[in-house]
Amino acid sequence: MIIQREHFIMVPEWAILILYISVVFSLIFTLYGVYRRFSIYRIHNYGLLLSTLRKKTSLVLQSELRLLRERYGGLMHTLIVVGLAILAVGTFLVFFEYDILMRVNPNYRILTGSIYLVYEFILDLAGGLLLVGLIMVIIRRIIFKPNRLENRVEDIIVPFLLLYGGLSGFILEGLRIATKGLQHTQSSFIGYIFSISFLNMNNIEKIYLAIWISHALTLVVTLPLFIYSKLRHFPLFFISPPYSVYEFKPSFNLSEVLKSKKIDFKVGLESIDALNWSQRVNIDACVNCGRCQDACPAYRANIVLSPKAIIQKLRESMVKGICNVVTDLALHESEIWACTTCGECVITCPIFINPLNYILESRRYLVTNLGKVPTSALFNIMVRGNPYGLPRSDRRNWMRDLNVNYAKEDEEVELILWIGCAGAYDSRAQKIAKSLVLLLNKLNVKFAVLKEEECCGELARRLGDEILFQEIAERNIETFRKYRFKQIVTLCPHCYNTFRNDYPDFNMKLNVKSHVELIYDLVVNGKIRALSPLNKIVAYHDPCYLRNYNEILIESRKILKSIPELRTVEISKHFCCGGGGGGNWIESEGVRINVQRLEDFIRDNPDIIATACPYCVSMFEDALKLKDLEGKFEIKDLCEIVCSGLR
Amino acid sequence: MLNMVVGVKWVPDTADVKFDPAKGTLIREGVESIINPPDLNAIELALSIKEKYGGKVYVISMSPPAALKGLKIAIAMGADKAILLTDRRFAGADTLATSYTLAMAIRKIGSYDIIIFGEETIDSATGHVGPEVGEILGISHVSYIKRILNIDLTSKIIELEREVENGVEVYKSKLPIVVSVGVGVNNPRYPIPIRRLHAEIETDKYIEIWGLSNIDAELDRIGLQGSPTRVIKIIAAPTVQRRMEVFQYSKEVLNLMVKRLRECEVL
Amino acid sequence: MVEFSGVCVYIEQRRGIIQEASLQLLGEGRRLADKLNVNLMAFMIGYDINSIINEPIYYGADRVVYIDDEIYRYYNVEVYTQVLVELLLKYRPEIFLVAGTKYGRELAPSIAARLETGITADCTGFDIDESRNLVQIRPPFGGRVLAYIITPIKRPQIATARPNVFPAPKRNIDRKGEVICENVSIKKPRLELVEFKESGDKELPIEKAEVIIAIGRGLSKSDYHLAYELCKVFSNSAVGCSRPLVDQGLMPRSKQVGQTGKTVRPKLYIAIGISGAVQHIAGMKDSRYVIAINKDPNAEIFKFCDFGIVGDYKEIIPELIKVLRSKH
Repeated sequence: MIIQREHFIMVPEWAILILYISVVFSLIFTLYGVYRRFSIYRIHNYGLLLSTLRKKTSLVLQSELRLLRERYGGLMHTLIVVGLAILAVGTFLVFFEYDILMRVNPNYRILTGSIYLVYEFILDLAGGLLLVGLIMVIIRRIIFKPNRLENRVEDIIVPFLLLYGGLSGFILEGLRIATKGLQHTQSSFIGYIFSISFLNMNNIEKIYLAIWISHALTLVVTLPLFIYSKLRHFPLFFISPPYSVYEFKPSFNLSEVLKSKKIDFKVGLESIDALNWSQRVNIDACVNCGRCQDACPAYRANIVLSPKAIIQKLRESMVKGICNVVTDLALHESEIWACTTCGECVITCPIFINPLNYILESRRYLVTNLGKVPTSALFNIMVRGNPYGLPRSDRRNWMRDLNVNYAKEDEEVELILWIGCAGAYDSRAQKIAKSLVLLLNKLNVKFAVLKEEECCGELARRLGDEILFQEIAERNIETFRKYRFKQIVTLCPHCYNTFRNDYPDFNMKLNVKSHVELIYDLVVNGKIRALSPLNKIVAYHDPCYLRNYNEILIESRKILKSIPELRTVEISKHFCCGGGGGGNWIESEGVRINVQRLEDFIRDNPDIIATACPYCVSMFEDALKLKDLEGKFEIKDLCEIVCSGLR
Repeated sequence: MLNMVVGVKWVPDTADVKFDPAKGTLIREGVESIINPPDLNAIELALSIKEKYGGKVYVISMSPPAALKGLKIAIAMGADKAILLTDRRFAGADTLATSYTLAMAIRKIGSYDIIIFGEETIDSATGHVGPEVGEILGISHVSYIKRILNIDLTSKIIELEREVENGVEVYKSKLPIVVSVGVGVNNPRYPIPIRRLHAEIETDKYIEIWGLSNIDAELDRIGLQGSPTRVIKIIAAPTVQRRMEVFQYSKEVLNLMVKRLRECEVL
Repeated sequence: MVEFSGVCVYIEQRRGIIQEASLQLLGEGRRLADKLNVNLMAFMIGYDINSIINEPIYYGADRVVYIDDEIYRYYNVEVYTQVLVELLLKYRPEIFLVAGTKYGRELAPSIAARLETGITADCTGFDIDESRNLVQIRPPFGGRVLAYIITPIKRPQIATARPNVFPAPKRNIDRKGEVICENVSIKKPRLELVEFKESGDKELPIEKAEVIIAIGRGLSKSDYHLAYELCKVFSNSAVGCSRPLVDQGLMPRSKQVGQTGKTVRPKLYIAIGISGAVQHIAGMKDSRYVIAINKDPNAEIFKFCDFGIVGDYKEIIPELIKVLRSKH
């Protein structure tokens, strides 16, 4: 007996005909869906589409790894993806053999002999993986019910449909095995298990036919679901650009506008029309998985803001053609202002959607066009060059008793130290600034500060006043051009990110280092050594603008490791302190993000909570006050810890 | 339709102004100027009246040309038009001459219903200009108002509330009226950035610059010669010498403190 | 035309009670009058004020000119301006002093504008120069400087004076003087007082308090009650605060001490958890005695205090209350 794939056994011609006809309908229906979708997306740049396709294909693994950050959900997804992928290839092979090769010559076959046995084994295995994955889905949806998941109709139909497809496939295989006798069961091992219960069944042919038809129809229905249901995330993944935290770009160039004296641009996300095609594809790919929501500090604290809801609301109004984002669509102002811009949602999304960008663009719309902003910080920046609204002349107060020089225009200086508004004005952060200066003095590192220093514009940009931001950026860039220096070191990660990632848009590439990197360099090149031992337990909180925006995480930990006797504890999950994106200036209702973040830390009972950002320090200090824990824990910037250890 | 005129002063940010004791002058170099803070509340009040009752908001400022920057901010907040009164002959004015010049300019604007000032400026802190402008124009004036209760557009009667040391007063007057408001009576809105950009690019459309020739003012009532008062000298304010006895806390320290309070006749 | 001569103080009364600030000015007016060798006159306006018309004389005036009529029961800037302008034109004092209350600071410039004469606001000192001009000393630029101002030609020389700067003279009921009842006809005012709601038993405004407990960012919101408890130990005391608390909406603006808030000069100022930013110092630097409590030994406030305690306010305040209660 020849071992080979037997096509359409026990299926009458008319049933096969029905299958072919319905496949054709399904294809037409699917193509129609693709057409509809593409008209929603308004794709015009197909070249970009292709390059996106290449880029995204290379990101499949990274995407899957992002999913696997959550074990259960990740594993489940991987099982389904692998299962479906193999089954799809398998089905294609059958189609290729039966409908192409065998039409040419009935003797042309691939699925024959040992190849067929391996094929059967792999397909059985794939089906098994798929079933396990799907059962995990159903268990999670029905029993675990994690908070972030809603059970919409499609969320239930899709897994059950696929489950039925898989199960019915195995039943059919089992029935085939039961009728044909128990051959090569070693390869169709799952089908064999199913077959056992069918061995002495009557009417097997009729039952087989009925199940075969339903199985075939399941597959016919599944195909259009890849465009009509959330399964569309699979094809869309490959054509939607991977968005990162850097996506928030200027939408005009102020100096050009002032030169041309023409204001012919729109600012911000006023209406859905402002979304470009790639953003449209990107938004439409969202499956509502809610990983971003779990990562969102504002959601965790007060549920006012869910990045998932933002994307879903945008998606709905895009599909329905509703226009005005902030009014009609109810992207509520409270959501827009609750965001701390930590970027966690962006780096969490497995399909590289950027909810943050739409929040920031909505802010731009609200602020730049309507002047609606819930804090006086912007006005303070405009009038006095700092968000605190303190006098310009007070900016120098922090360095009154220190040995600090101003840079001179005619002298090159190795290092410019940029203190930032917090370091200059916030009494707590002033101490950090002082520590950094003491540290540099002790190590004989030459540096200077700029007498023209003012706000870097970070807050203006994140709060949505792009015009003010660009005014400030242009002023600062002019200042930078006046001086000659090798590098600029920032005390504040927010200044750092602005110089590193935002100023290049205005033709200013700076060799900028965060103070963490500077200290790390000093540790590595041996300038910082033999620190006094510090017998304390330290938990490190990553500033978002170092971790999420600039991937500086290892350096901080290595700096801590260089201190003798110091023990560190790692807090498993990163959350923002609540200070970013204006959080420091916008009063929030309800649970405070900083208090919640503090609670993450005090569970491990460290002596010191270390961080590397003046906002984080002030948020934690405030949280200590609110929790009545002052004096129980110390909040320190890395440079304070290192400075006090210098002999 | 109500016509509102808001008086705005472009003042050096007093927090940054230092005193040079050797020369006996204030050091104003490098000091940025700002809109006098309560004047922002005045603009806000005018805009909120406009929103409720309809009308037009004019902003007027007697300042050097650098004040254009401030007027653009006022436009960005939502003022319809700004007038910059600038002329060398206006210089050196005390509060009376300033009020006269402003009053003549306001008269030139033509119809006005409510004239609003910030209750005082952060540099000279007199609070004179509101009452003086009111008197010079011969219309009602009320200082330190807290809010407008009602404006009857047909009878042109305004009702407003103000706070004094021992209570709250409600006044009623026929328009026009001059009022002054303080910091804290409302929250001045953020100047709309895109409107600020418009004011920057099309300044002429929003801001008019008037000199002496644009208003009907008597020469001997403006500037230094129109000012009855003269500043004869400025000295640094004497500061109280503090004892600065600082101790780490202990219960004995409190006893010492009570002793000191007795010695200094505070208790 | 009669020469302008004499010093005149406007005596502000509300519901039959003379404002403390006006009495304080009588002392200063007396001093100036003696220096010029002229009379000190007092103007009073009100309704049913017979019982108090001699008071200015007890405090140093030589002559009281008053007007008593139902229509003057309540202050109305338009009415009072008319009356005072009439009186000033009739009695022609060379110096006219008004207490810098809210009424006074509204009334004085109205009068000055009508008479087209000079006015100086919020004076903290007066003197007479060699040409018999009134030297008006006032603190502009947030009190950083003192400006000396004269009104060389125009008369009367009008000034308002900051309350609580000049000490009130001793009341002497044996002093005698002239009392004149005046009557002027006035135009019907456009401005009409509809209602006066006297504030009831409210907290003492900080500018009137002799003792101020000022709290800052160093104090947890849940501990504000400690400040109020400490406040209760003193009479004539009030709780004030620094600007951040107002900006965060934790305290009302009326309680803010500082450049953008109120300027206070109490006998005792206790700053708790206040770092001592310049703009705060500007508002309290004239206090007689300053105590600072802060956990940070390097806090700026310690440079501006007479007595500083470094430590935890939660420990210090309850103990301080105990100590003060036992020894007060």
